[in-house]
Amino acid sequence: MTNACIFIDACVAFAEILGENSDIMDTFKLSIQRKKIPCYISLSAIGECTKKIDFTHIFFEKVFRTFSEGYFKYSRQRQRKSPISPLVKDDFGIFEDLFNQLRKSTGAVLQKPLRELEKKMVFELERILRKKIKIDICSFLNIFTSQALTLSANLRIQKVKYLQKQLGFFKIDKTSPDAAITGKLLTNVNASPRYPFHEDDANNISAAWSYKKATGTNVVFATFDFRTVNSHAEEIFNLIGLQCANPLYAPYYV
Amino acid sequence: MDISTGLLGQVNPISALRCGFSSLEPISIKKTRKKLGLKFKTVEWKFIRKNERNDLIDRYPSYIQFQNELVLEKIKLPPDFDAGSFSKMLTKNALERFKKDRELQSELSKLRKKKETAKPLCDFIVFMLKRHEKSKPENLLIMTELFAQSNLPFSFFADSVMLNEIFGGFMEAIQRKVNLYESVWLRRYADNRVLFHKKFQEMKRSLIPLFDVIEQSSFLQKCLNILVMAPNCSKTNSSFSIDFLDFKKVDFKQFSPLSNEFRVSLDNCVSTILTYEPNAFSSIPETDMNKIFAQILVGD
Repeated sequence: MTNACIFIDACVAFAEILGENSDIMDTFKLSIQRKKIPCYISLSAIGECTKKIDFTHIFFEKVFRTFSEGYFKYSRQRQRKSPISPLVKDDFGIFEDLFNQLRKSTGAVLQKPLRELEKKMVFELERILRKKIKIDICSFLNIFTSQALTLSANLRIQKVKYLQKQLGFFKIDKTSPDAAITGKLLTNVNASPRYPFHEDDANNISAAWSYKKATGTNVVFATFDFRTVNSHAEEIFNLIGLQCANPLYAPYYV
Repeated sequence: MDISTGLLGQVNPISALRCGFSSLEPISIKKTRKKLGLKFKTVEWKFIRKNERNDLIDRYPSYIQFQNELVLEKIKLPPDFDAGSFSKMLTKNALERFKKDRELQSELSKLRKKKETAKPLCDFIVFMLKRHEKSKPENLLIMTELFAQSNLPFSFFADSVMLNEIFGGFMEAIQRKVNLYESVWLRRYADNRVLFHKKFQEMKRSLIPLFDVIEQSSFLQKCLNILVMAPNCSKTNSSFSIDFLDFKKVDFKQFSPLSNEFRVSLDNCVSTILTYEPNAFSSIPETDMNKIFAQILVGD
């Protein structure tokens, strides 16, 4: 076994749970297994996982409520149509307006998922109209709400499985972040104002640094977060001597 | 759909399972059967009531009433709200649902009256599991519709759906355990009455932690549902015809800690089930939303 380990970010844990970036994750897991590199997740990264799941709830609530509460009804009434009558071709215009409204009030990080949800909803509406299915807005939204609820519930189940019962390839490390290092990272790492280097990133890296200091092992911090972390990897390394990398490269820094 | 029926659901499957488990004792019956001209010795079970007075199936009404009273002890309803009548009405409705549930009634009576079979308890659990799988989409639709008929947080419904998902894992875990006992241990000690009953008691004891955690979650869910429902009906008599669940009317000082307690209990449920059955909850379902979740949670 090498005198080194990898700390993973919340996004890597979620990639494993959701089966996302599976090619990279499979290679990563194979590499660490071959090289016998222990893999950890810090308590601060686990805290970020919980926050992120709550964040998805807020996102879906905002989108679905925008459609279900008043706005759709108001738009239909402006077109002199009943709000509960089946969806028609003209409703594409209402969808566009509502998503434009949502885009304006949604932060940069959520623009991509918002666009994805918009695509799914528009494609579904197109399919429904093509097949001449009669469906009102409530039943239409139920299709997406039920999927979001199911996935959200299962995600929390998997979170317990991986982050509480530790039934995955990584184990929990309880080393606390070093407040001075967190502060240093937040003050010095120059992130763009659009994708700021936020406190959770700093805490997760800082916890990995604390472990490195306490055990004297070589620690690499693996994350998919390019914009706020990996693009500043060199800066972070010069500042605190800890390497950050995409899981694709992380085993090779050990 | 009627909101109150949606929130209080069908017959509580956990209570029903407790009924099936608590008051029945097995006795082993050895038989010799002929098959293809050969004689085979088989061991089968028959369930008998261990104590008529404590039979939970017969005492289901008082059991449900006790549960409802506990709920109303846990939460504080508005002072002008008649909690006593409300509790009575909840019990009445729960019992009506139980009486109308012919499928469950007949399966429970089968368990008591049926002739000996190889795995009676396992059969009952499989029945409950199948019933749960069948009702899962319906329960999900209820939650989805309630979300649309309310301004309650998305997480409130996600937690309820989580309990529904957990229940499948719970059933699988107890099925595995009961199957092991019914097909190995009880069969092995069929000749020895003392050891046979010892093993049966051991099986029941081993399942207690599972029942306890899931019943705790189910209880907290009921508390939350009643906490949300009660202030949204102006009179006790109209409590079962609520039009809209307004979150502004709900006592947030009670809702927030109760909601957190429910979440912790759900995590505890998953954790306990995984201790019994590490292969439970093997994968995440594939839906149109997976990519959106991945974009939010994994990012770049």
